[in-house]
Amino acid sequence: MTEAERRRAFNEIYAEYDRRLFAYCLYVLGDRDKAKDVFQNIFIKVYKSIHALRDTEKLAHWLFRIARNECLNAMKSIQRKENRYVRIDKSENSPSLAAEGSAEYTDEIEHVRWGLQQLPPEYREALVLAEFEGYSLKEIAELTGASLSNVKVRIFRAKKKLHTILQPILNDYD
Amino acid sequence: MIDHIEELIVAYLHRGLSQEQERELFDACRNNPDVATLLRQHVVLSLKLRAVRDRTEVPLETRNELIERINALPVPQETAPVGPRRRYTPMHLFGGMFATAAVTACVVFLLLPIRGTPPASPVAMVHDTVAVTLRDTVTVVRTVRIDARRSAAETVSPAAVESGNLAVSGDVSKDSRTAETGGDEPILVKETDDDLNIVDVADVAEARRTSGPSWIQQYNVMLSRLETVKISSNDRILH
Repeated sequence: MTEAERRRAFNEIYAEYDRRLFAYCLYVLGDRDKAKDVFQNIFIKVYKSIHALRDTEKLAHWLFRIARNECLNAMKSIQRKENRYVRIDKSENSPSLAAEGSAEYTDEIEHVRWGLQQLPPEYREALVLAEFEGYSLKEIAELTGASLSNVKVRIFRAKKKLHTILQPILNDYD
Repeated sequence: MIDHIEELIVAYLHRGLSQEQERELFDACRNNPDVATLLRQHVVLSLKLRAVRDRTEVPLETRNELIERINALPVPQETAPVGPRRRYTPMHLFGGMFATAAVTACVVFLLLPIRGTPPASPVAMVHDTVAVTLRDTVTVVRTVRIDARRSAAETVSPAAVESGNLAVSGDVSKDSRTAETGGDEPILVKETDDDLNIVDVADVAEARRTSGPSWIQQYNVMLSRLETVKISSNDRILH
C-alpha cells in the first residue's frame, strides 16, 4: 500500500466514522477531554495499521474493537490515577458531556445526554452500541466478549433506568 | 409482568426476538394499551438517543490535532521508496552463505582424487597381471613374463655402450630366450591360465639389435612394443 493509498483510505474511513467513534468514546468514557485524546489515539492506530485490514466488510467491527480497547485502556488509566471509575456521582455535578457552549440542559437532547451520564459505564457501552450503532444483541456480545443474556440484561436495565429519568420527556409523546 | 414485557420490547428493538416472542408482544400490545404506550415510549427513547448521536460533532481542534499528529508520523516502512536492487545475486542462486559453503565443499570433495587406489601405470613389470579392458570390461587377463625394461637396461645400458662390452648383451639375449615358452618370438605376456600365449609381442632382443646404441631409444622402442600388446592407459596393471 502506497502512502497515497493509505491517506485516501484513511480519509474515507474518517469521513464515515469520525462522529460515530467520537460519540462512542464520549458516552462510554463520560469525559469530553479524555474522549478527545482517545479519539485521536484510535485514528492514529487506524492510520498505522490500515494496511492490515483485509476484509472491508468487517471495517466497523474492526474500528469499534480498536475504540473499545482504547477506551478500556483510558478507563484503567483513570482508575489508576483516581482509583475509581468515572462515576455517576462525579458526572452528576459536572456537565462534561454537554456540548461546549451550552451551560444548561434546556432542550431534550441535552436532557438525554445527561440521562446517559447517569448510567454505569458498562450499561452505557451496551446502550451506545445498540442505539447509536444499531448493533444486534449478538453483535454486541461478540464485540464486548460478554454473554448474550448479559448484554440483554445490561441494555434492559440501562433502558429501564433511562426511561425513568426521561419519563417527563417521553410522556409528552403519549 | 411489566418487566417481562419491557424485556420483550428491548429485545424486539434490537433484533433479539423469536417469532413466538414477537407474536406474544404484539398480542400484549393489542390487548393492553399500557403495553402499547410502553412500546411507543421505548421507540421514542431510541429516536432520542439517535438524535444525541447525530448531534455529536468532533471538535475542530481535535480534528486539527489529529491531522498534525498524522503528518508528524514517519512514513511507514512498507510504503518507503525502495531503490533499484540487483535482480540476481549469488545469494539468490545458492540461498545463503551456509548453502554456498556447503555446495563449494561438495564440489571440492568430488574433484579430489580417490585415495587408496594406485594410479594406473602405463609400464608393465615382470610378474604383473595385465587386465585388458574394453569399455570398462575386462576382456583378457595376462601375466607379464619378462621385465622388458630391465632386459633393455641390462642389454643396452649406457654403461655397457660406453664400455663397449657387447658380450653382456649376448648373455642377456640368451636369458631372454630362456624366458620364452616356445616359438621364435619372446613372450612378454601370457594369459593367466597358461593356455594361450601372446602372439602380438615383438622380440625385445630384435628391437635391441635394430635400435641405436642409445638406451633411451631402446626404452622407447620397448614401450612402443608394449603398446602392441594392446595395453593402453585405460588398462590397469596390478603389482
